[in-house]
Amino acid sequence: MQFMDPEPASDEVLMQRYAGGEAKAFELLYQRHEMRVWRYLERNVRNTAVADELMQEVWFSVAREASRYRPTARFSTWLFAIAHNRMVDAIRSCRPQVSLTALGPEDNPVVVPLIDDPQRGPHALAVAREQAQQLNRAVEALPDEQREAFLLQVEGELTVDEIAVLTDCSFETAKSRLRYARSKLREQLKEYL
Amino acid sequence: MSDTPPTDDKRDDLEALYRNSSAHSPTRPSAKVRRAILEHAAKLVTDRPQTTGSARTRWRRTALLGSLAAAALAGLLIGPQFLTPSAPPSALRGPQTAPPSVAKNLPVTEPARPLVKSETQVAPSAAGAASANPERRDFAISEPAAPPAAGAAVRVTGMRARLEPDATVADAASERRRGMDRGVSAASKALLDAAGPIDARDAEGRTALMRAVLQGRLDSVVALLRRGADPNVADSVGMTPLQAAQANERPEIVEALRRAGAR
Repeated sequence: MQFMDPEPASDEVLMQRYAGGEAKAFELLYQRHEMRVWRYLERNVRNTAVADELMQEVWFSVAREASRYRPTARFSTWLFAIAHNRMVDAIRSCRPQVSLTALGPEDNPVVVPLIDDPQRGPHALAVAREQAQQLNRAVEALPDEQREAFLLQVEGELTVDEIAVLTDCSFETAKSRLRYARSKLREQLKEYL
Repeated sequence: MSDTPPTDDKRDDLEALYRNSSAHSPTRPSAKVRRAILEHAAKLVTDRPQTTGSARTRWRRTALLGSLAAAALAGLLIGPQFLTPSAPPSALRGPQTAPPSVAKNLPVTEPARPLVKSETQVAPSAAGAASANPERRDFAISEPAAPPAAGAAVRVTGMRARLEPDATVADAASERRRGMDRGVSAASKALLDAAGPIDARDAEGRTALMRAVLQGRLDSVVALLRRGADPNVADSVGMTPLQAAQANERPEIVEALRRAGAR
């Protein structure tokens, strides 16, 4: 007889478990949010090595502060607030950028093995790859403030109000940035929409 | 098709395209970083029980002091406003005034600001009082335009009015007595005085204001802000009180912090 999987633990529960000494809970949490945080950082700083460095700082902070995390706060809001703050600190301090090659061959970004996907034919894969590149270019082309607001919304799932607080602007400004960002992305990606 | 794209939290085709395309993005965090993060997290778990007893005690003592200070501040500054009536001093000297022996023992912190007004003086005086006293504009409490008649029923205002919009009290003097009964003790005042600088940080880099925000204590937050707490002091991870209130989904605290200049 096959049993159904229990409902996956929420982020907040995983944080509490980790704070209680369960290292595996942190791994689950990391796996769940790894790519979202990564994309937020990498698309904002537009440098893989700096994004790697920030990624480490952010998650070190999460681990260090786990016991002080209050479950009343949405984990993703808290996580992206840390990511934003670390990124702003890094930009302000204008730290020297680390060469990617200096990290060694195993540290190069992993290329997603698209060709291993049995569900997709070569043509579909080529289209998906081209689409991903177009999207990257379109996001990169956004002004910094619009790009950050957009990434906080789509990756961090933050509300407009949360974005306004985090980026130190008014609600209307945050809303306006999102509107412009979306408008530009729509224009750039209209062939896929 | 509208030129104005959706903005708020609405999921749309653009977002769907973004997610679909992002899944094929060729970059990921390096294996070294991933390994370092997970190893660091696991190490912290193993290191945690080795924390010395004295360090834990120090942390708890600081946290306890911060919480007590926040609670005492709330009692000291919010309690009297919440409960005192708008009757003028002359009305309080009437037959329903608290006995001199009680009044004599009350701590004198600041002139009592009335929160109970007669039916006829609700709206017009509020703006005037706020402009007349710019220091308290953000948390303005209106002063009465004219004293209510002795023994007349009066309507409560301020926070209590928000909670109980139709509440009235028998008269101003009896309401003030309630305030006296619940007034701030000398012990609370002493605790506040002993608490040190208002923006002192605990082991987590958190001020009393930050702790009050994390505990969702609007009354303490307002009290600390009135006492001069800096609303922009971030904790050790760079989280500001405003961000914490936002993360905790406490719009009333967000509003209070913003009014006090939080960024």
